[in-house]
Amino acid sequence: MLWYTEPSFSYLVPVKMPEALATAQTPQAKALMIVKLLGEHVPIGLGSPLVGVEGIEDIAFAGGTGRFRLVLKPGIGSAAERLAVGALVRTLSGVFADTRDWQVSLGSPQSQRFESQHLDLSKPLRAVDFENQVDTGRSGITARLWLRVPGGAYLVPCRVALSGQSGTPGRDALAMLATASAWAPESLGTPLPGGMRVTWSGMASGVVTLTVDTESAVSPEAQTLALVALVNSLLGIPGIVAVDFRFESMPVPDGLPFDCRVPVGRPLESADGYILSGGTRP
Amino acid sequence: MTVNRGWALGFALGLMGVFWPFPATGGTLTGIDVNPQSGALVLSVSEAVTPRVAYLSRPERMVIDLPDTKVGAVGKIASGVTFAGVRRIRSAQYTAQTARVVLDLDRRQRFDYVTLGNRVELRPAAVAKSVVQPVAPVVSKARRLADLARARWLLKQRQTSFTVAQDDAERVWRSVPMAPLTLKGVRQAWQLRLMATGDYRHEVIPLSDTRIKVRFRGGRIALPRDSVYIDNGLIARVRLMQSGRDEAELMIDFDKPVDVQHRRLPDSRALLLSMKRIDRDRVTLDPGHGGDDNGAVGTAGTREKDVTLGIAERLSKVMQRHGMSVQMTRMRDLEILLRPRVDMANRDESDVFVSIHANSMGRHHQIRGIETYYYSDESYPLARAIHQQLVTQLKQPDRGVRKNNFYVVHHTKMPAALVEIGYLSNPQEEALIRDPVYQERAAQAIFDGVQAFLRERSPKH
Repeated sequence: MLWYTEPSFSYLVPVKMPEALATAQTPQAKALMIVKLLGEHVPIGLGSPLVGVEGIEDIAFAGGTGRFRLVLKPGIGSAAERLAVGALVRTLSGVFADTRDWQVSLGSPQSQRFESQHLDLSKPLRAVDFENQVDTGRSGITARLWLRVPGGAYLVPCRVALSGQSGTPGRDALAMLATASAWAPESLGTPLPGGMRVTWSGMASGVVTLTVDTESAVSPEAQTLALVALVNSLLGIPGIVAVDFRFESMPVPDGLPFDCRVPVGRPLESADGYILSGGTRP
Repeated sequence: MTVNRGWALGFALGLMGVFWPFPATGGTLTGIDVNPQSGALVLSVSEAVTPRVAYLSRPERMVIDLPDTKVGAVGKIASGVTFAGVRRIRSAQYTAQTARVVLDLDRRQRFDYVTLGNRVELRPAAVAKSVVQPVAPVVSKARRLADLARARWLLKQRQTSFTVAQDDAERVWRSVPMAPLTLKGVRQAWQLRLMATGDYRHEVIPLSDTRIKVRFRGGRIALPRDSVYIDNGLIARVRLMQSGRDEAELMIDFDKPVDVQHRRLPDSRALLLSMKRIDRDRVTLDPGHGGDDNGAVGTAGTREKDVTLGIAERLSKVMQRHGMSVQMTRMRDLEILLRPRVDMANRDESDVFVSIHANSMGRHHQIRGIETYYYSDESYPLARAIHQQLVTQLKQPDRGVRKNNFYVVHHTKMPAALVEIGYLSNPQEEALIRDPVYQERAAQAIFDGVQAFLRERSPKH
């Protein structure tokens, strides 16, 4: 996945990696191509997370740790610094599966090394350090819910604390997905479109059964985003191994990144389709 | 009141300016010089001698008394001798039987000495052998209970240091019933017990909320005039001095404001000082950036380092008005790295840490709003309380309370929040943030959030 940002420049958004990346021969070449893709080939509706980034230098790998120096323009804020470092660490961690730790240093365009005034770069960073977080005002069991930017054709994975109201994390997650527009920040909302109703029908042996029906016309794009969000969100909760959809008053959708006529239990990371709009910014 | 002057003990260093006018009998101090081979400072005496050594402070001095010795041709000032860490060397006839050599030191320093027949050789002590070290940087990192053990160790070491000296010095400590300064206590309550061998009057004089003076009338102190660095998180230093012929003073410096109660024990010879930390909420405010590091710079040239300091100064005043004890990681336009900022808060054992920043998203001028960051679960309620107040009172977009590994919220040991007050890259928000009235409102909102958090945590507020 390449990790971009959404229009509010608050959250990182995963986008399927282009095949062109496979043509890069060396790890350094791959890393440089990633920077180029994140900086210049931005999907429509998203933003480049590399605000203020001039380049990446001194890329090296040793003993499961990757190193690089990020060259930044002076005076970028903490949000921009966090987005840039987070997008690179998350993307590089996905591309270089054997490398979990990333020792990051910062430099200016004049090649002077400087200390971050924000991030703790004293220790290696990991992808998990840059997970999107959404404050729900609660504490307790957390789950990664896939929310939708209102009007956007993509999903944003965010770690949130579940409500704990039903006593079943999966059921709480479904309820929170349905009501996300009420508790999430303005820049995020529910992935379930207004005309679609999703009902928790039970869980047995780790398989959650959801009943889906539509009360009004729902675009195929919105249906797809909703089902991907449900699968990705629920499969991230411990104890849930598959999601079994029952469709009422609507045909079984096609064109999905998974076959929803059978229980969906494929690993999250292989599920694609987060971005439905094609093309990149000019 | 009957004053029994007999409690003055045999050994009192007194004032250095008073010297015994009569020559001693026995050996003679014949030379003070540096051995070019060994590099040691050598005191040459005509007969074998066993020195007594003590250290004095303000200014730092080392005193070497040579019993049964008179000062010979070296005179009262040994000029021309240079020795590492020693600014000046003096000698004089201190009493009829005792010659005294004084080393005026450049700094707090200790020396090892050996007696080789009729020579005394001194060398700078290895750090590990130092009797009293300025231990603040080490001890302050430890927990308070560990500090107590450390304080006892220090006092014990002092006794040991005098025990390794000879007869008279050893008698000094023995002559005082038990330890003269006894520290006991737990966490926020401490006691200092002073023992005397006779009657006396005392008076406790508060000099500030972090310093008191106890004046004793009726005798001389039995201890060498000196300082003891305690640094147990409450008492920084205890100094004992003879301030007049029959008057002694004990000066106690505290790290934090304390309430001191004093009473004489039934035998009337012991004075008990009970100290309790005044339970104020302690806050460390951290204005981001500074010095060469401007932080973010707005489209109109507003520098992050200036607005963060402006808000922190205003916030500090509000908090102090409400009885909080506030320290700031920087008070002026100064570049300070992140670790010292964190160390300052941890050393102070603040109750709350608030770092103040302003944001920038480069050319994306449309981005605006308030973000508040935290790292530990313990810090989340603080971050949320501050954020709610900021968003409500400043009426700017809510960009959320977020967990992140920003250095200052990651490494502080108390609830900590980093506030991004707004985006300097947004022209409208920049104009607001540079406005002193807006800064005042931001300060008030942060204060309200901190206070709400403290109330929630401790119902006493």
